[in-house]
Amino acid sequence: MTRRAKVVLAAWAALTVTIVLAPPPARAIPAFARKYGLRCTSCHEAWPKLNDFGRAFRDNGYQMLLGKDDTVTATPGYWPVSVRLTPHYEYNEVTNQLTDQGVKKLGTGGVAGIGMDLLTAGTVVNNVSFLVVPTGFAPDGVVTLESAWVRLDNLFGSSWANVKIGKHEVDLPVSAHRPWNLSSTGYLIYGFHASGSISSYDMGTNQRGIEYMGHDRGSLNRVAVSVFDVEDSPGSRHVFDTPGVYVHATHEWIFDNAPISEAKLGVFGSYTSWPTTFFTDGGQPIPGTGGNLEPSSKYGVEGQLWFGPPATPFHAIIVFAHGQDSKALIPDATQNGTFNGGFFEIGYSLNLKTLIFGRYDICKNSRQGVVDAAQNLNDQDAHTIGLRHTFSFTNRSEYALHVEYTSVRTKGAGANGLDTRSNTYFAGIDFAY
Amino acid sequence: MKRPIQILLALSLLALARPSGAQEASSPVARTPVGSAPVVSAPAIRGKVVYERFCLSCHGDLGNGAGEFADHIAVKPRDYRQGTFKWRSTPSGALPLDADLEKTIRDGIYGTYMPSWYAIGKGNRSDVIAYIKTFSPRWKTDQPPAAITIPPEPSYTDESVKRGRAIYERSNCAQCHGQSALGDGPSAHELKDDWGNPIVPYDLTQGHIKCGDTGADIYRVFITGLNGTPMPSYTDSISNDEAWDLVHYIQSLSALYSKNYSKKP
Repeated sequence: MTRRAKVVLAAWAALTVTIVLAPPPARAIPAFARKYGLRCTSCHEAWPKLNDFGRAFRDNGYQMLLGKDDTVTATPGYWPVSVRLTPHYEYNEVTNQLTDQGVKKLGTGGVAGIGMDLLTAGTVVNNVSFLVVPTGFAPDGVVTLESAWVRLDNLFGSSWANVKIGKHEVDLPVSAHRPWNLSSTGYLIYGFHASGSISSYDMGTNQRGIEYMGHDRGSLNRVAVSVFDVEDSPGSRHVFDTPGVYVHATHEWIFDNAPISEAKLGVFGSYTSWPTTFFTDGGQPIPGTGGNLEPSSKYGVEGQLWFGPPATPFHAIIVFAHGQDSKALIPDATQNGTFNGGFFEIGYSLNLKTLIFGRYDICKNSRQGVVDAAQNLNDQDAHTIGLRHTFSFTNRSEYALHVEYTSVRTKGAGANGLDTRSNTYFAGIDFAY
Repeated sequence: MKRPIQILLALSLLALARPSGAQEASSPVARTPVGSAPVVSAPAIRGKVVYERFCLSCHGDLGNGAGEFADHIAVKPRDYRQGTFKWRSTPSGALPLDADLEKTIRDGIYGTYMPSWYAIGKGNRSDVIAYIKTFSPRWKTDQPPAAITIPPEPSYTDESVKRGRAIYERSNCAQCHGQSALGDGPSAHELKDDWGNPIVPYDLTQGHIKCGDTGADIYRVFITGLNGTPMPSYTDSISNDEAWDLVHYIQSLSALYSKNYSKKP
């Protein structure tokens, strides 16, 4: 056994012992939990993924709508701020990297630089809600505003009329900010583009714009439309910088006391642009002077099933999408690049505290923009498996053990045209208060 | 390298799968709540998990209304052990129907920390009702009677409002709810519920009633009373028509109440 294996072995053993010897659950709940006196489990199927009640609460503008939503008159008084930290050990390795010593597998590990999410959310007054999330605070000192929006809720007294303004996450089939996995491997299809495309649009990245959202009681039927400037675009000289639009609609069924307790079907699509020409200075593009915006599109379907008791479900999610990038976005392309992809994810709540989760992602180019390119160049697939065990959730805090293994393969991206495989081993404590 | 990790992952999963404390939900042999029979029915077993997920922080793991949040709120969570419920369609003192409990859980209670659990689905609600019934032995010995009959609502008129005001005074409602129905009557600060908790008379001018805003919802409170609170049943002291007049008087106190302006009842 190698020395590294021994270290990992010891760490796992220690974590297992920690679980076994952990004290009985303490009573306690972050900001919304404090305000409404509810446990984390009320809104989260398994933290941080929302359940039906949590989704309805969010869709209502972080309100219960029963006369107790006012931030000032709520008793007990509360400060709408939560903090989330995930101190963890992480080992990363990637294969087929070119070095002076030849093609090597490179790997490094250690206790990761600890970042922090500062979440402040709630209502300014009834039917005006907000979310502001500064994130970062890691050793690099960088802090960014991941989210910053205000939402006008229930306009004209209708739950079908809600408007959000600011930097927000579009209404994805599965939130990119609430995944069960904590390594940096997100849902690949959200950010995938045809091979060689210069567009960096990622559905999972929060966008600056306006969202219309409507839903019925209980959010069984939902529709959301976001119009935005594509985040991370180098910018254009157009009146509307780098426009994009995203649409999502879902319908959910709840079955009483049936083997399948819930089912959801949805459709989604995005149409975004990206600049392809720039004014230059010394040959370098001048930011904000882009022109000739060219399109990328992605559209797909989602299906979700919950098996067994809704309070401790086996949750299966499948998302499939087809996408296309304009040939103008792909250097040397003579045709538009197209691709297909998606993911299959499961989460099984053994009980209210323990979750086993897994996911398989796949994205394959179906037509290369550059006709001479290998058909599978830059295809990606990934698999993830992990578990979370929450030691306690209260109306003040929650902390959980999180262990995870993720592996991502990219075709032809390594030295000499070899495939690369990136493996991540992750173990840490995820806590919020 | 990979094999030991896989073995340890498997061991970790086994370790985590064990029950870990009284609040764990995985065991099919459920805990016996204080003063009640063991949980045996399948809905109640499922309902226990639903209860632990959604209800426990207020109502407590013993169903005694002493959850971790209970100390922080003015309107105390229901103590299920006595089998006493405020919001019922059944006569005063009786157990509620399942439909009554379903309505309370589905719609929530306005002005309190009891939210609407509409989004969790009827199956979950039915299961948790089955579990709630295990907290009190009363559910073993008593059966809830049929719901009271609520006659059709007459038209809302100025005359019915005037008559309702007279009934409000005659029935001494102002003693608790105050002359202006703001919940500030002379006795307002002295009231306690059956558990000894201070209880505040409702401000009827808010335009929302805790148990529902329709005329029938308000009517029902006069006839059934609110068990466990100082709000009595008036079934023996006012007639059906007078109860409707009183409903109309309360509805006159806020534009938010919907009113029956139709000519026909």
